[in-house]
This record gives sequence, structure tokens and C-alpha cells, in this order.
Amino acid sequence: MSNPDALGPMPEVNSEKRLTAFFDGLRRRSALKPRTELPTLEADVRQVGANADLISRFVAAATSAGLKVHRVGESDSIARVREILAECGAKTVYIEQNACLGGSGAPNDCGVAGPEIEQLTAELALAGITVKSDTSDETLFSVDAGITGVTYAVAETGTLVCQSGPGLARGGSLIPPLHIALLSAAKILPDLYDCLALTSAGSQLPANVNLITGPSKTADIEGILVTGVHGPREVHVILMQNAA
Amino acid sequence: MSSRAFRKRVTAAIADRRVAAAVHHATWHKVGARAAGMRMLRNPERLRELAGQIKQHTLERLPEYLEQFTANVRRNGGQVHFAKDAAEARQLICELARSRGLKLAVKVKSMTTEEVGLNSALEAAGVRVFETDLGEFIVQLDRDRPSHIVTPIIHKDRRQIATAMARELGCQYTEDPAALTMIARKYLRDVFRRCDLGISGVNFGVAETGTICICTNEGNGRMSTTRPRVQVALMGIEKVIPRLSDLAVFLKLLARSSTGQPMGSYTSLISGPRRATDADGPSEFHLVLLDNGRSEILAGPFAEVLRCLRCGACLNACPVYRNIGGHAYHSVYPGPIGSLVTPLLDRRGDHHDLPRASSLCGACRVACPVNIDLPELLVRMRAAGRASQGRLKKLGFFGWLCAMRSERAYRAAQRILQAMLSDDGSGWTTGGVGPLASWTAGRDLLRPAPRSFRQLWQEELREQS
Ligand code: SF4
Repeated sequence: MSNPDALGPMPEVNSEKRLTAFFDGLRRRSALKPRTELPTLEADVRQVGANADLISRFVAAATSAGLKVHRVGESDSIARVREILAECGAKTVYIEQNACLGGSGAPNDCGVAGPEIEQLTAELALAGITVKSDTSDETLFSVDAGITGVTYAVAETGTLVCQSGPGLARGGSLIPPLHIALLSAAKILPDLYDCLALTSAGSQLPANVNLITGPSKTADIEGILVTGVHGPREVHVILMQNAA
Repeated sequence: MSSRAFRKRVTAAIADRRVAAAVHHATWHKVGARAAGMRMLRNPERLRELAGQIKQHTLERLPEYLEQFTANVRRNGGQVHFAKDAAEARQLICELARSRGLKLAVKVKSMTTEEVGLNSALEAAGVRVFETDLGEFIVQLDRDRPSHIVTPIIHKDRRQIATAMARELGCQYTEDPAALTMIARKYLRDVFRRCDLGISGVNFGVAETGTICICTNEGNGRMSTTRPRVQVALMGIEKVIPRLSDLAVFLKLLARSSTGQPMGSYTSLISGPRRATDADGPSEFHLVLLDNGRSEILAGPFAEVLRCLRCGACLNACPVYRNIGGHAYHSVYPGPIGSLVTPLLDRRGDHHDLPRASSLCGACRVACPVNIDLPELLVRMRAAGRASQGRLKKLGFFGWLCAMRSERAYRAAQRILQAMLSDDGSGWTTGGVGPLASWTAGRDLLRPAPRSFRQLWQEELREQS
């Protein structure tokens, strides 16, 4: 792991020895005997099975969590993005430079092609929208909307899963006041359990995996719901399905 | 806190109708929302069982899992530190800020950092600290203290919030929650742009992957772990869980228990600092493991409390909390779980009254997502604190024991009570005399019948013969 601007470990505090001594002490003193089994989970935990109608479950759960879901055919996605931007009066957007924006690609090939980034960029520019693709602070704090792909989605909870990685800024789905997520229907997994099992299957997790279930919200003042506290006020999901 | 101080706080809390109404309203709402959220699950009871079981399993093998967890955090490029108590945790994080030249910290709401009193230590070390959860931000502005572990300003109404914000931020006075939220957003956006240190707690630490999980609704958790150059997470040693898939159980229960939502808006899984090819994120990741009395709890008869997720459901469910609010407990952790954790974490303090602030109705046990037997533990905690009971009370219980053991004494006691307890016609008495007065001041006692069953029975026998 090379982090150019990271200092080395702090000499005294990051001490392996102190931790080891603590663990040893804990082992000696703990009064608990290991008798409780670690349960196997899958059958009990699962709320949504693979045979369920994943699309309608996802739409229902996402909608009740406050996400705005738009179901479109695979060729209509760009038009819908344009409409949403127009409705919200968005003039500048950030587009994630992600090879699997919406469509096929790792980790699960889904057979529904999302829009090509070049095409999306060109059509939005044609509609008079300024498109940015860099992840500088200037860009992320100034654009009206962020357009990103989604790694998976979860039918049970209406959750979008966004991961960090090359070209995948964490801030893209977070800092602009409007987030538009492009999602192919085939990326919808039945249950939270499936999503976590899949995420832990690889050798190492990405540095950041976010499960997004709704817009940024609070009810801290007298229990009244307000959206758009620190993250986006609105999250739109462009749910793309094969015409067939 | 002495008995008298506690009683004074409780009396004051009950007398403050505004706070009482705000707390009552909010907690009842949450109780209903939680029930509705749990009903959506196919098998809520089974999930609570599983959650309790996973936590118990982990606690029984805590050193093993902590070792695995720290090894994996390191493998992900993070640095791991150990703090044996609050002072060490403060020192560590202040030293971290000093050695890196960090000056502006953003904080995600975290009970653990409250527990160690981090903010004032950082401020004293020359680091400006901003709480970024809206509720905590307002608490900080108003120099108040949080009164609920999930909803820190549950005791404030919008007028108090509006006044504090107008006074401290110099903004236009408004009572509209949306407008108030936007003022805070704008103010904190600027802070998020400039901050260099992000501090959070940890909801779960996953041993098999070295991942920490942070749950928020506002997105401040994501901001605070994305924007700053250095990220520090302060984690109680009991927060570790074995597998990433275990999170499926806990996430299904956590938000439902806290607010009734099936899932919070943002669940962030963070595995070390940004990778070399990542577009953004902190370049240093530090995890501080905090003991601060937990290993001692683990070695004692109350180890079960370490399963706690800090969801707040037991607070909302508790009729005592609902009536007195969080401040009366005078502890970072109020409510049923606080009445256990506070005496356990602060062994030198006088907290023997806290476990008595419970009706033992069991509502907390039913609400707890990890199946902690709170009422049973509260009873045990009462017994553990018995040594500090008043003389008079001890004498009273001794008398009670004598009366229950001998028929003669029992009958005599009955007659004395009949004479002592005044009747206001309701059948209940609230005004005892003598030493009973302070007992009945807070309890309604059923008045003994004018003639006991025994007397009636004997009269009956006499008439028949
Ligand atoms: S004791 Fe149980 S109900 Fe109370 S805060 Fe902890 S997990 Fe939630």
C-alpha cells in the first residue's frame, strides 16, 4: 500500500507489543468459556429468496426508503437522465469514469448495456449541460449533480452498493446535491445477505464500500424528516431493463 | 452521584414539562416505528436470537477475534493502536494530530469518543473540532450535553434550536426544521472542504476482512471518512464481529431498533486508507482499540452488556427514561443499558441508584436486538450495590424479613400498617407517615384493607360455630 503523503507509523503508540500484551491478559482473565457456537446464517437470515420478483421488490423497497426509481428500456436511459437534470435545473454534472457505468462489466456481467460514457457525455453537452469528469474538490463541490454506476443493488432493502476504486470517487455519489445512479436490473441481488457474501468473497475488500439506502436525511429536529443534510437531497435510480 | 443528587435531578426533570413532553413524544413515536419495522421481518425473534448468539460467541473468544481483526486492518494498510483507558485514548489521538500537524477535525457522532471526553482534549491541544451529526452539532453550539444515544437533542424543541443557531452562527432566526438544517449544511460544507482529520466511532469491526462499519443517515459519516487526509476510528474492544455476512443479521436489526427504518441511508464499510489508485479518500487510517474497563467487565458477571449495539431501543422502551429523559441519569450512557454500563465503567463512582431507576417491567428486554436480559442484570446490579444502602432501609428490610418469618410478628405488622397508611378513598396511599413517607413519595402503595382476609375468615368461623 503506497500512500505518498502518509507518514510512517507513530513510534511508541502503534506498538504491536502493547496489543499483544493486552490480548494475552484478556485471554488469562476472561471468565467466559467458549461454549456458544457461531451460527450458520443463510436460511434464517434471508428475507427475500432468489425466486422472488426482484425488480418489483427493489422498486418498492427503494421507493419507501426515499429513492426515486425510473424504470427504462436500455436505450432510453440517456433521455431520462436528461429529463431529470432539466427538471432539477441542473446545469453542471460530474460523470463517474467507470467502465461498467450501469451496464455489463465486473463483478457480475449482466447483459444489459448501460450507456457509453462518451455517448452520455456528448448528448448532455448537446443539451447545454457542462460535463466534468475530474474528481477535484472544485468539481465535486460545485456541480449540480453526480452521475455514477452501481456495483450491485439489493431487492430486500432497496439498497445501492457503490465501491471505491480507480475512477470511482467516493464523493461522486455524496457531495453534489443530486445523485443519479445507473443500474442494470440484472445487478439486483435478492437479500442483504447475498450482497455481503459476495462482497467478502474476494481476497480484499475495496477501501470503501457504501450501501446507500435513501437520500441524506435527518429527523433530529422534533422528529421531522428533512433530506439533504450532508449528502444528496435527491437520489434518482435509472433502472435499465432489456426490452425483452 | 449521590442518591440525593439523583433524586433532585429526577424531580427537576419531571417538573420541566417542556422537556418531558418532547422526550415523551419522540420516544413513543420510536417505539411504534420500531414495532412496525420489526413486523416487516419474516422472523424477527429468530434474528434477535442469532444476533445475541453471534455477539456472545465473539465475546467468549474476544482475544482471538481481536487479533484476527487487527492483523487484517494492518493488511489493509491501516495502523492499529491500543488505549487502555480514556486518558490514553485522548493522548493518542492528540499526539496523532500534533505529529501530523492536523488542525481541523470533523467528528461523526460516537458514544465512545463521548465516553473518553475527546473533544475538549483536542481543543486544548489546539485542534478545532466540529461535530457533524446535526443533533450533535446543535448540542455543541449550545454547549449542552446529548440526552439520548441516538437522538442527542431529543430534549430540545425547535425554538431552543433556532435560538441557539441564531445566537452562535449569526444567521436569520427561523424555526423551520428544513431551513435550520440547510443553515447547518452550508456551515459544515465549508468545514468539510477544509478539514484534515476525521474522527469516528465504529458500529462493527469485521474480523475476517479488517473492515469497520459506520452507519449514519445524514451522510456525515461518509463525509468525515472521505474528505480528511487522516482518519481515526475509536473502537471499543467489544465491537468486533467474526464475518462480513454476520453484518446481514445486525444491519437488519440495528436501524429498525433505532428508528424503525429497515436500513439507514448510509452504511459504510471501510477497509483501510485509500488505495494507490483510488480517486479520493484519506491517505492514513488509524484504528484505536479502547479498553477503558471493558476487559474487566468481560471478566465479571455482567459480560453480557458488552453485546450492546448502542441502538437506543431500550431507552425508548423504558417508562422511566420516557419520563425523566437522559440528563437525569448524569451519564454518557442513560436508560436501562446506561444504568448497567455506567457503574461498570466507573467503578469508583457512586451509581448505586441507577439500577434502581427501573420498574423492571421488561420492555427493554423485549426491545433489545441482541437479547440482553436487562431486567435480570439490573436486579443483579442492585444486589451488587447493596453495601451502600442506607441504614434505615436495611433496618426496614430486616424488619420485613422478621415479619415474614413469624406469624405473630406478621399479624402485628399488618395492624401497624393499617393504622399508619392514610386512605384518600382511592384504595391507594401516597402519603405514608414517619419513615414510610419518603418511600411512598415516589410510589403508590395499595392500602391494606380495613379488615384482613384472616380477620374475615375468623369472624366467619365464629358465626358458623
Ligand atoms: S442494550 Fe440492547 S436495546 Fe439497549 S442500546 Fe444496547 S442493543 Fe440497544
